[in-house]
Formats: sequence, structure tokens, C-alpha cells
Amino acid sequence: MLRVKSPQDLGAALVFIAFGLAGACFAKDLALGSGFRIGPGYFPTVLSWMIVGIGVILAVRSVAIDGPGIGDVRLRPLLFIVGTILLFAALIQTAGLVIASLALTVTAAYARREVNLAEALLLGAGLTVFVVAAFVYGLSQPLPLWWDR
Amino acid sequence: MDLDLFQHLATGFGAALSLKNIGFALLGCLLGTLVGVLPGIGPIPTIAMLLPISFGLEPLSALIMLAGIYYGAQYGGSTTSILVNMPGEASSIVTCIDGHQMAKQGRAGAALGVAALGSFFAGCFGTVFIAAFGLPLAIFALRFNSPEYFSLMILGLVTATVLAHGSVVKAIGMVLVGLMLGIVGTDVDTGLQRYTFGISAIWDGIDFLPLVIGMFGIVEIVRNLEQPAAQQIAVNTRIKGIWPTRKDFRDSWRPVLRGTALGSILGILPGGGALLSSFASYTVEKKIAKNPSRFGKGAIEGVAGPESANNAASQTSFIPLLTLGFPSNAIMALMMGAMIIHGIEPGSAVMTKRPDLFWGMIASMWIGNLMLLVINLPLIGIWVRLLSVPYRLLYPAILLFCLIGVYSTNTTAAQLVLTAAFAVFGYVMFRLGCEPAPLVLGFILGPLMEENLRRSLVLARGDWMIFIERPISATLLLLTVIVLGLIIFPQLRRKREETFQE
Repeated sequence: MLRVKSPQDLGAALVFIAFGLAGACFAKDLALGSGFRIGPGYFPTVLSWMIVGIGVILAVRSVAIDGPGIGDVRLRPLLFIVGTILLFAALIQTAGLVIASLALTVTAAYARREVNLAEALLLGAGLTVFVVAAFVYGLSQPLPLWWDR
Repeated sequence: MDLDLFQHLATGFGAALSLKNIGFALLGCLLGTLVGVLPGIGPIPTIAMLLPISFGLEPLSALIMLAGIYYGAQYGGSTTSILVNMPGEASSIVTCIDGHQMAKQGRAGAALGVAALGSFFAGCFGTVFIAAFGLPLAIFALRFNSPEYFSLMILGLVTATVLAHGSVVKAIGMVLVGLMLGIVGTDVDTGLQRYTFGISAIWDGIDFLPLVIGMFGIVEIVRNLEQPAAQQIAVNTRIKGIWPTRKDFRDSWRPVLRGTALGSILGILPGGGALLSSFASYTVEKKIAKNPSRFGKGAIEGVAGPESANNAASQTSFIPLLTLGFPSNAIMALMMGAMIIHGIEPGSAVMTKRPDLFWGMIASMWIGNLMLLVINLPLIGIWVRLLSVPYRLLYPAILLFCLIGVYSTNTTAAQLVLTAAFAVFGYVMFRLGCEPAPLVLGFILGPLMEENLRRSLVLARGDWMIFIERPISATLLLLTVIVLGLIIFPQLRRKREETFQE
């Protein structure tokens, strides 16, 4: 009976195998070319199968050699930080830098369990003034301040 | 030849000593020290973040500032290691061991002084080392053609994975994934789209800013937030007697010399750099000490050696980039990206076509090191007080600066979505024990490698033997085989693990 001795290795093996197979599959329509002139599909196809190979080695290792576990995953920070990035992406195009920065500071604060809304708003206000002064006026970066551009 | 060297250095100092460039060197050093002190953010996301701002600068000013961040971070990292046992930078982890013990014994001043003076010496030596070895290497590199470059990249990538932290197999996997991500976009040869899935944001390839910021900057924030809130650290900012005593000097000049030599050599190796050198230097000092049991209890050699080594290495890791166009670690990959954006092709051509740029950058490193010595020692109190800023106020600011950096490269929100995607991918890979640094190396080298492979085969009319028929290329491949053999050779693997464990 096979027993997984290293969950980390098994996880990495699955990711690599999936990545490699996807790579090989989507490179199918690209010409491999000849030995003289290799086509656009050659390099990615070879790489894809090498990645699959690495995945297989890791899979074998995961049942043969003891290794560390995945660890204690807390989804809250990841979800809130990634959510904040997506919100910022949506707001900066539509509402401008000022509102996007304020919103970012507030939602980012929720990545921690203890949220102090007043403090987050204060920090947001301070950061917004700083980035507007530094990036827009100081370094003249092409950032829309408000929704009307 | 020697006269030439001085002439070149004079050109360099001429270019670097303009008021503007001194200003950028100072800015880079200050920013570097800042991120070196703060544990939540490292030099990689900082350099990535500042890239868009550097677009508007002259290439030399931009590179001077970005380089300053890199070696400034090595300085800053040691301060917090010694005073509060918190390595602001990975390369100062070993400094914690004895440095903090020294601080506990009331010798914080001596530890900081030795770290700073050792780093300064190493930095100066590293600068001369680049100047002396850069030229012959660049002249040698003129004989390189596509097959040699292809073999060099194979050797470099394999060595980088062997010397990298963590599992070699996973590191190779990450390099390969990086190479794949690097060739996403329009194929230069045929104009065909590869792996773009109709997403217009990646038609020209994946920008490296979203990738680097996502996998380093954002993942770092998430990882810090997962940790239970750190207790406030009581920092005693009153440090007396920064100048080491005569006995300290006597005890530490040899470790400084050894550390500098070790760091200078390890810095050149792909995958080497500051982190590996500081670990290696600590191991060496402990091995040759008359009384190894003092280590871990405040031995000054354990601070002097590694601190010199990491600074020397951070200087000499510029050599492969400036002469061969090969980035030896993730930070150099970023510098390479910066050079390409500024229209400079990294490699031996930099030295012949833009001598002011090459020698100016080298001269600026020496100036920067002097600045760090002058700035850091008196300002230590201020830097340390920054540590009392709680992380809950810090990370929204870091996040905001990262995102503004990504957005301002080409002002499309799609780049931000890509950043989020790489953050998730980076986090998953971190959980699975895969380091992001090899991926970044592969990512930068992917297109170059494919291009050189294609050109080689055209050159050889499709004959793969070209890679072993040309002597330089054959030597490089032979070295690759030896390096691969060393991984399988168990004794060395044990050594490598030992080095990283201490």
C-alpha cells in the first residue's frame, strides 16, 4: 500500500505534471519544425515534457522519502489581499487613484482578524495624500486622480 | 593594461560623481537600508516597484539607484540582526547568531562597527575585483557566439539550482516553468501567438513586473500576515562605543579578509550571491576557529566574516551580468530587465559600447559603500526606531506602492489582475516548498535561450553536434555535467545541507 510521506512533494508533483501537460497540449498546434530550423512549438514542447518528468520524479519521491507537510494554511490573508488587488484594479480605471487607494487600505485591513476601521481610514487618508503628492505630482507618473481623467 | 584600468576607473568616477548621480546613489542607498531594516519587504520587490519610476531617468542614474538598493539592503539587514535578532534580509540570518549575542553582552556597538567596517572593506574590494576581472572576462566573451551562449545558460541555470536554497529537483522544475512563462507571447521568428489564449495583455509576453511583484512582494505580505502578531520589540537605541576596540580589530581582520575572498568568488557563481556567501563564511570561521564553542555566544568572527562575505558577493554578482549578460540571481535578473527596458543589451557589449555606463556603475558602487558607512553608523538609532512601526500600518503601504508600481508601467488594469494571479500561484508554490527565485531566472532567460538555440542550429545547418564541436561550448557543457554529477554525489549534498542548516 502506497503511503504519502511528503505531502509537499506530492502537491508540487501534481502542479508540475498539470502545468507540463497543459503546456504540451496547448503547443500541439504550433509547428515543431525540422532539425535545421526548429519551429515555434519545439522549445515549449520539450520544456513541457521536462516539467512533466520533474513532476513524476517528485511524485515518486513523495511516497519514498519523508518530507514536511503543507503546513497550517490560513486563507483569510490570501483571500483578502488578492481581493484587494482585484478591487484596486477595478477602481483605478473607473474611480481614480484617490478612491482606489482609500478602498485598498480599508479592505487590506480586513486581512487581519483584528480590524480597526478608524485607524484604517486614517492610514488610508495619509497614504492617499502621500501617493498623490509623491507619484502624481512628484514623479509625474501617468495615474488618473479621479474618474473623469 | 593596468594603466587602462585606472583610466577606465577615472572615466567611471567622472560619470558617477556628477551631482545628479551622487543623489541617485544616495537615494538608492537610503531606500536599500530602509528595506534592509524593515523585515516585511526585501530588495527584490523594492527594485521591481521602482522600475517604472526609473524609466524616466537616464540609464546610468537608474542603474546606480537600483544597485544602491541592493547593496544598501545588505547593510541595513545587519543592523536589525544585531540589535533585535531580526534579520531584515535573508543574507543577514547568520549575523543574528553571534551579533545578537554580542548585543546582549552590551557589545552591540562593536558588532555594528565591525559589520559596517567589514562590509565597507568588502565593498571596496568587490569594486576593484569587478574592475579587474570584468575587462578580461568581457574580452573573452567577445568570442562567444550563439552555441556558447546557449551552453552558458544551461550551465548557469543548472548551477543556480544546485546552489539555491531548498530542493534541487523543485528548483529545476521552477526554472523550467520560468522558461515556459518567458516565451509566452508573440514568437519573434514566426509572429505566431504562443500561450496567449486571446488575452491581449500578454500578446507581447508576460511583463516581469506583475510576475515579480506577485510572487515576491505580495506573497511576502500574505506570509507575514499568517504569522501570529509579533510582540512589540523593546529596542534600546542608545548604543555606546561604535568603534571596535583594538582587540576586536585583532580578532576580526582575518575573518574580514577570508569573508571578502569567499564572498567575491561565490558572488560570481550563478545562484550564489549574498545569501550563500554569508552562510559559507560562517561555516568556514567556525571550522577554523581554535575554540569553536565560542560561536553562538557572541564571537566577533561570526559577525565580521559573514557580513564581509555578503557584501563582497553582492558586488561581484554583477560580473556575470555585465560581462556575459547572464544574471546569476533573481536580483540580477531584475537589473537585466531594467537594462533591457533602457535599451541596453547586457553583456560584453556594454563595456565596449557604453564604457561610461559600465565604469560609472562600478565607481558608483564604491561611492555608495562610502555613503553607507557614513550614513549608517550615525543614523542607526533612526533606522532602529523604524522597527517600532507596527506591521499592520506597514503592509497596506507596501501593497499600495507595489500596485502603483505595476499599474504605472503601462496603465492597464489587466497587469494588476496578472499580479493577483501570480500572487496566488506564488503562494501555492511556497506552500509546496518551491522557491520563486529560480523561476525568475528562467523567466528572464527563456526567450534568450530559445533564440540562441535557433541561431545555433541555423549556424550548424541542423547539426546538434555544434554544441560539443566548439571548444568553449563543449567546456561549458562538460562543467554542467560535472555540476550535475556533484548533486548525485552524496557527500557534497550533505555539505550543502549542512551549510544551509547552520
